[in-house]
Amino acid sequence: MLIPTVIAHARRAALIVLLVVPLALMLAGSTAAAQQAATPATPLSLDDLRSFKPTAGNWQIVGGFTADRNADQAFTTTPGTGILANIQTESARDNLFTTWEHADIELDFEVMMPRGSNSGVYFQGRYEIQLFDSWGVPAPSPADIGGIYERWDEARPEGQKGYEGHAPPVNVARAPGLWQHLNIVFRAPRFDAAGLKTRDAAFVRVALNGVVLHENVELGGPTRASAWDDEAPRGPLMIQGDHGPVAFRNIGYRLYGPEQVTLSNLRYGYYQGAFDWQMPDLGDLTLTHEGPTPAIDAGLADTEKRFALQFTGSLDIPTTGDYVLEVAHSARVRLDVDGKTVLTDRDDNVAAPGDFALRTTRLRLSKGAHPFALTYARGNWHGDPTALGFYIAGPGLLRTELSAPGSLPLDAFAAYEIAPAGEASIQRNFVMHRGAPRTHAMSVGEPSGIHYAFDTGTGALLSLWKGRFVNAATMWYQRGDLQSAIPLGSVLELSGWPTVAVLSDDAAPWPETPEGFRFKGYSLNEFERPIFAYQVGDTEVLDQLTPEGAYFSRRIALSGSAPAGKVWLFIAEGDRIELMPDGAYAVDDHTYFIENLQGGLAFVRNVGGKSELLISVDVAGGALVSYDIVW
Amino acid sequence: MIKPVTLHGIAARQPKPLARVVGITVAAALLASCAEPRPMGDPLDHTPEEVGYYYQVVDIPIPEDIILEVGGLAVLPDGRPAVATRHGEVWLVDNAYGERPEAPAFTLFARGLHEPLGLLRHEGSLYTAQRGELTKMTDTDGDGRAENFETVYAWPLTGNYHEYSYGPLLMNNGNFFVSLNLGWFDRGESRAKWRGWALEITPKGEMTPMAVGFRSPAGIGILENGDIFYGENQGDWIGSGWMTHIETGDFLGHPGGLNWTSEPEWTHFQLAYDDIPNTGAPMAEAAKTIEPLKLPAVWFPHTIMGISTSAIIQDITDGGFGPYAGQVFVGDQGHSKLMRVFLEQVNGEYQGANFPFYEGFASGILRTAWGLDHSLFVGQTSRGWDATGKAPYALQRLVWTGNVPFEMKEVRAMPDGFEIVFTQPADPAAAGDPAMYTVQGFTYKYHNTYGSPAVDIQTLPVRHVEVSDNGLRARLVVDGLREGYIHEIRLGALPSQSGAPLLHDFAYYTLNAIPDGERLTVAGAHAAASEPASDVSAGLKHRTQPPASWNSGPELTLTLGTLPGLRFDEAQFEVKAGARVALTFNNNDDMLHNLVITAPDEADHVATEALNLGLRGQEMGYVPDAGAVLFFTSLLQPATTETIYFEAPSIPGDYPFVCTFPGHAATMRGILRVRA
Repeated sequence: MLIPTVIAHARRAALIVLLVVPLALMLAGSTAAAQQAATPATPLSLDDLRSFKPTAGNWQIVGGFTADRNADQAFTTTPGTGILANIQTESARDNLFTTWEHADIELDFEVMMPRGSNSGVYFQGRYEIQLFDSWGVPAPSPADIGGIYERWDEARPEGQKGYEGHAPPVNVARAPGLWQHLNIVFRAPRFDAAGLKTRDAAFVRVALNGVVLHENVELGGPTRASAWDDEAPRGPLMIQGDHGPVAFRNIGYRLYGPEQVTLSNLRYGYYQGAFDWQMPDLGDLTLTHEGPTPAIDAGLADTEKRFALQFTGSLDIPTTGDYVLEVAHSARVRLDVDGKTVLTDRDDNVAAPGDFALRTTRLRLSKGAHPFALTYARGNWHGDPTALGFYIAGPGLLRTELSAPGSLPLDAFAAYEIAPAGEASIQRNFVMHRGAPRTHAMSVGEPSGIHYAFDTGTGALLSLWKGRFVNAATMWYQRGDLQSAIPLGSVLELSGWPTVAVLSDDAAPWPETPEGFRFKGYSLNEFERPIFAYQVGDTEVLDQLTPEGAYFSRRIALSGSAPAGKVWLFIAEGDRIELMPDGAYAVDDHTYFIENLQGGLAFVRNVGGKSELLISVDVAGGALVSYDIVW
Repeated sequence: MIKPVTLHGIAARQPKPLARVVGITVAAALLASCAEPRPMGDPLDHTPEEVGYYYQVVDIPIPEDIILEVGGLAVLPDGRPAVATRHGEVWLVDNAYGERPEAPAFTLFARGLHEPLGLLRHEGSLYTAQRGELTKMTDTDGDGRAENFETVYAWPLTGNYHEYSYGPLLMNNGNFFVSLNLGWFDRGESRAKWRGWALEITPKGEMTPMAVGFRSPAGIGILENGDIFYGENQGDWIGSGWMTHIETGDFLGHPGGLNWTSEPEWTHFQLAYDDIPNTGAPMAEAAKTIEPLKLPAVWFPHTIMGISTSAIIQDITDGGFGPYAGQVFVGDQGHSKLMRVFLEQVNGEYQGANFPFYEGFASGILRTAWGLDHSLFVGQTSRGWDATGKAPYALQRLVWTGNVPFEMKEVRAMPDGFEIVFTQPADPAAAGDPAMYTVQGFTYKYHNTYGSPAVDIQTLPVRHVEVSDNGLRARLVVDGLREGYIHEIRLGALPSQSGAPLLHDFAYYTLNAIPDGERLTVAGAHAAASEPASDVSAGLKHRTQPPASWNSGPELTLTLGTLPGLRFDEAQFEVKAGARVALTFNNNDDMLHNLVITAPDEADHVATEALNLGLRGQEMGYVPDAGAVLFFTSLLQPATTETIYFEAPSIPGDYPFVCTFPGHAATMRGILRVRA
């Protein structure tokens, strides 16, 4: 197999461990945090404060919370329910505690940070995930949003009192005033009968805005400003309330118990023989080896083609309930439970080279042993490395990997990452947008960690993301298949409508491809950033995105001859587009901002249940539209 | 000295010493730098029987962090090769000729392209065909890096990975030529406009479709006279690889792209996929009823003359690269080798012969370009398709030592046979003996099945040979010539007048048309002998049923299969002398294999004989009729199994077993140890 090197666009960059779970999950559009749990999250009601212990009054339920991006810690609220807000004052600055306690827990919520604000969620009141306005911070520390805050020991020498903090490896923080999403899985410490700790607490997974920041980080003890110095099997959730205003919504949680799903009587059968790329009938193959095995491990295979590996045994289910089984894989798979096939790929949805596929099924399983057979087959496969991952989640059961570590090689495609260094990085590819490929498109990455994708076939801005740039495995692994450079950060997918069109009137529907569109090419400035040139009928367009710290500024210059008042630009689409007091537009309930929109006549219209922000320009004599897209 | 006239009337001149001088300088320079890459050695390290005496490969070392999977290759006016890579980069290489002792220097000119598969320098810019467009790249400020990327013309895509786009070539009229692969949807299909077509594009971006019928036109080249050729790859409808001359309005053979013939931009003909006869009759038959169908000028018999035709380049060195001025070199991606093509025109259409030329490149060949010193840059990549050269990518130079090999230089069609023109005078007595020559005619099926075996093979009598006074020409009178058929011409051990051996001893002539003209007067005429395939499955060497005399069945059952990399998965078996053995061979690989047990120490000899079975080899299961062959299986298709039954030899010893499919024997072997 090829041993490629990391592709860095200047000198060789340090290889960053791929923290994101299988690539397939990015492709499927689901974030790492949305790996299926068997049970729906229990919503934490924000109709009132019943779930929380009383405070001095800084914590309140409101209906709306808007942060003013232009002033530190500035915000306004509107009455109502659904949002938990910390309205801190000199005299009211309590931390917030839940009335209930937890051991293992998964917490999922959205948070809005006013500018310069600070808070944190303490699991068991002791172990903090930091909340902070970290927008644009070039190298996050443990004190940035999503960081595992450091522990503190006064006895240590000056400058070393803080220790064992874990910084986010990339900055995927959104701008203040925008809702951000966190999903955190926490495992409580374990104690023996005598009360001695037998296992440290851990953050099993921390994901911010869809990007996993930490995995399986063990915690030696409570972090700084913990409510208690000791450690315990259970404790309440605590939210810091004395470091600034903050708002939460859509809080959900799942409590996990200590029980596990285990496998017993695990055996493998290794079959060889004749098949191409289909899932074979094992009866047509020759059983070459078989026997007991300690683990489901695709590494038992010693060839790359024309074999099938079948694992059989019992799934030992601790509690009756609904379970979610997942198989991540290359080549072909089938899962049978209790004698029935419950999960399989089909000939028309096989795993594609340069990526792994993820199959999911939901089953109601009773407590007890359930025989299963997991079959992995590689025929005449020119595709990926051998890979098989098997996972289960259930009631009170955190998603558990039932296969051996390495059976699904998470770093299989890490070497195909493109990391911009020293200059902007362009890669033309089939950019995936809403599940379909844009075949004439390009991804543009910045060393500062913000990136975008542009469709040169229609002149459309497709998406923005922050964090790492792209992985090109589906382009350059073997023959490649999808030919798509997959974004590796926190993605904001935009509408993908072409930017410039000539409309007959301001109610005309926006065209999928503008009439008379021709892409002319692009030129690169001294930082290797592209300026796109295209024409729409008789209008010539130059279109450029320039990074400004943590956001992009877009300038679109138009010239030529077009019917006056008929050339329109599509700026944004959303379920809601609100004009803010400072003139910025908040799109989709504060998912992102359009700011400083200039150069024409802007207005918001409603088409088919969606809001569209358009701007009309007069091309004669030249027009210049500019705006900032802040996310 | 007689000057043979080449295709373009350019007389071959004395070989130029320039390449040799430069070559030795390169050698000295590279040796002095203690560089790892293989320098050109002294030709005197080789004997005249070895190809290294005439041509040698020089490696160009590539920095570790550049994945130089060559997709496009062009030499700039200052001599530097420019390389477009499949990762979307364009690199300029300084000191590529080793003119200075340090390693070559690579400078980045452009990146971010989507799998460029061609490179052309024209009027100060570099042009390339990416997956979705023809792009013009220009360094506007002279800093060595392109700033301007102009989309000359963009074409639609479905997103299917197989939709590769190749080029451009610069046509004599100043327009650009690109060729477009079909998509792969379990068969070759054109689901986006113009896939499977060749397009002509003006510098301003106005497009006219030129020809249709391509499957995988990866190799494209243009001759000095402006004629464009392309290489096709075996697949559905393509019985074996070929090289065909493209003219406006042609249908080249694969019907996948015919659905777009109804588009208004195409004015030449309208045909549909189902209009093309799917009978398996030879393509020459179909051409009689399908008027636009263009027959290949030269067929490349599969596995003998490569398996995936690529780079096409005419020798424009005027004798600076050997005695082949005006001929065409064709690369092969799968077999990592270069072949040579002689073209002539009969009745106004191209046809001709191909010859082996040089094998042993590091990876799969995709692109070639002439260096300023008349060496040939060979750009290579094998990602996605295995090649005999195991490196994932490479850039090498092929250099002529200045020594002229004794070869068949040309094979020309005659009204009554063929005329061979040698590079040097042949020994007249030997060259004049008809027994020195073997001629076979055959063809391929034209149908939607993937590939075709050689069919309708006939051995043709060579009735008479007339050798010219200077020994340079041998005119063969051959009976049973068939128009539209390929003719293999194989020579025995023919020495030159100075005693040099023939470097390569066979050629394939594609006889689309037999030329008119004067026939030689020769007594008698024999009908063509049609030799049936010899039945090698006779007797005790290949028993697939247990012998009736084995009352209690076999005493010993052996089983083996294959491992990746052309290996059996068992290296050794032990049996008692005389034991009754059942041996099951499970071909779990994705290519053809057999298993042949030979007398001790005879594996290599049997394998060589199998190789020499040539065209008939496949139907004989690559098992030669030789006493050294003891037992053998059939030639097994992928994913099939066969059991053979035999009694182990009575004399103890090590009896090798080997797969005799051409190219496999070196690694695919083991030992049957017979003990007392």
